[in-house]
Amino acid sequence: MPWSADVVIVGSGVAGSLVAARLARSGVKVLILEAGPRVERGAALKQYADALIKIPECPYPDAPYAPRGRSDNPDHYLLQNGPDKFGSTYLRQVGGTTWHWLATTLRFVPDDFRMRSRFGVAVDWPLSYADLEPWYCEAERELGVAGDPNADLDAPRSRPYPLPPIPLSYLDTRVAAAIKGRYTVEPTPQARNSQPHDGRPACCGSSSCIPICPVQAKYDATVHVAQAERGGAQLVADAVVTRVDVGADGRIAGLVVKRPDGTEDRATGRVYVIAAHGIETPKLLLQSRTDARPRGVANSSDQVGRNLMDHPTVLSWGLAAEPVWPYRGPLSTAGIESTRAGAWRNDHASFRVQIDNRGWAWPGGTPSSTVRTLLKQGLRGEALDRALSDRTSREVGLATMAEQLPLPENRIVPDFDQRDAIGVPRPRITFRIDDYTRRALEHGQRVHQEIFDALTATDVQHGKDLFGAGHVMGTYRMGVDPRQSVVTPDQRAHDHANLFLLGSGVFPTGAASNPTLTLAALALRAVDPIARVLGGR
Amino acid sequence: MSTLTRRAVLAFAALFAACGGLFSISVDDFLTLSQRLTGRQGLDRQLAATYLNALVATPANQRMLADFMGFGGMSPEHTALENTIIEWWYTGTYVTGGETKLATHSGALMWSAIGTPAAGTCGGVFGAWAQPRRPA
Repeated sequence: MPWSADVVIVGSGVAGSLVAARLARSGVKVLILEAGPRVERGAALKQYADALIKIPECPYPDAPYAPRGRSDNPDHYLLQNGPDKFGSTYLRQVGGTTWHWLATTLRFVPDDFRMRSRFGVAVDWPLSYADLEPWYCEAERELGVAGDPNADLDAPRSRPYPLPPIPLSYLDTRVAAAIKGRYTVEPTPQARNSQPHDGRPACCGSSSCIPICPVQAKYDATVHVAQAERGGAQLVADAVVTRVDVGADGRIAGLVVKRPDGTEDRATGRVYVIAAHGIETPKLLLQSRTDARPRGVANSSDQVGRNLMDHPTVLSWGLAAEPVWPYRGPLSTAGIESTRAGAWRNDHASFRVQIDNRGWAWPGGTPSSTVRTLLKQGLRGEALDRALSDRTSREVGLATMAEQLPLPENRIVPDFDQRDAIGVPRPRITFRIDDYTRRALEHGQRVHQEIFDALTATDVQHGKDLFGAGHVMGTYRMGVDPRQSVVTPDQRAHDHANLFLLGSGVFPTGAASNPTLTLAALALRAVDPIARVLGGR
Repeated sequence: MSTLTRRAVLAFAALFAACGGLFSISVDDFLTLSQRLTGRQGLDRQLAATYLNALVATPANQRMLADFMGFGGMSPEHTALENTIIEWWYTGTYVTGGETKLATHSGALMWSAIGTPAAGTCGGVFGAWAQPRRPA
């Protein structure tokens, strides 16, 4: 059955659903095509509880027609060329990856937008922090961000946070006291309810934000999917867009949609928005190549799929001298943010240190692994319980995530020889973590050691493995020069007047902050330009 | 016949056959043994059946389980098996056919030992994480 609408949106994650909700509310006929299925929270919670390994993806379907990666196996879906593995994953389902995000909603700092002019590194954004600031406010309102009004985190604010802050964990306050005078532990702004809000309850401290919030105190994009549908938008799940067709006039003429049973449909609109995240969006554009457009759609610059970035992450862990009581509350409530800004950014990347409220669960598989360790020591019964309680109560986990340079050779391309269950090319990734980033990660682990020293911690370990942060960025960058970038500052494709590309793929550089608030702000900023194109302007 | 009872009978039959009919351990016996090893009362009977079924699939385990019930002596292998039984109750995971499986998430004893509900379970009033936790 063919579909048509004023605006056809590919992807129902935070970018697509925000735009869909706003457009639908203003009377625009909106169609949302989501590759994956709808997910019911109760079923996802059961799948989480039943999963042997609690990886971020464990509560969710891995549909054969919309496959996705696995955190415990980087080769599960992505085809990795190396030299480094791309460790991040994303979800393909209604609501997208916000189902298993941490909900950290930091703004970028002003220098993040002018890396070339301030530090001689990478490129400048085609817009400034001041340009985006009103949209940060809008995004914070839409997502329901809880934050400390006394902490601007080097990102000046024109409006207060919509919700009061999430309390720091006991661990946060112990770390803050221990390192006072050297570093400031900052409360993390979070799209997590600190009070009942938007029909959802306050956080109940389930310590499972990744992979799933049991009560939806954590914002996820199903909030705006529901708003869009209430406004009249039509959402079609299990609808994999496999090709973007371009008309003779250079405008997008339609989308080819494949269903799980292999049948094909067509969707047409006046404006098209692709918001399928940093891997699937460029793959779709590139796999839509034709004889007339051998580089694919929107790719006269040859930048589609390039400049793939993440926030490479290193972990450290140790045992504090006194109990700090992890395994409670949101998975992280504070961090050190001053390391995101500084004159040294010509030498090494910015980074942030995240204080984990989940003990050693990330690096060490605790508390299960601690049980095994203590049993080997011969402990049983009350002695085992006492030792398990004592040890886990003192676990401190720290993570540093660093900015990564946009390198053109770091890229995703469709592999036409390796296809998924419905015949769609799988993503092939070439990825290298640069020395600029690696130097920052070394700095981060030195900060970790300072914290452990201040806590008189023992059993300190600094992990060597690099993890993905789940932040896929850069693969359809924005800019003013059509030879160097894929989309304009309005996120409209340079090559196609009726095509918008949303999401963190438009980031020219990745900063050190979690990307969601910035991509949400940019998506909201794109609504008026979309409406203008719709109106024939 | 309930699933539970059927499992218990299967476990009994497997063990009886392997031991030539000389000894068997019932789910109730295994529960008693598990309570002695963990120091916990009120252990879940269905979990006990799951763990027992997995254990008796290995003939050496059958013999050692009989020893635990007073029919034989102790060795380092016996201690290792005891640790396995305790580990399964504490972590909620077990091994069968060479594969690790989950028997229970929220019912794993480690959570009560560390004094917090299982991850994914609401952990009390909003903001409780700001206070030191009372030791379990």
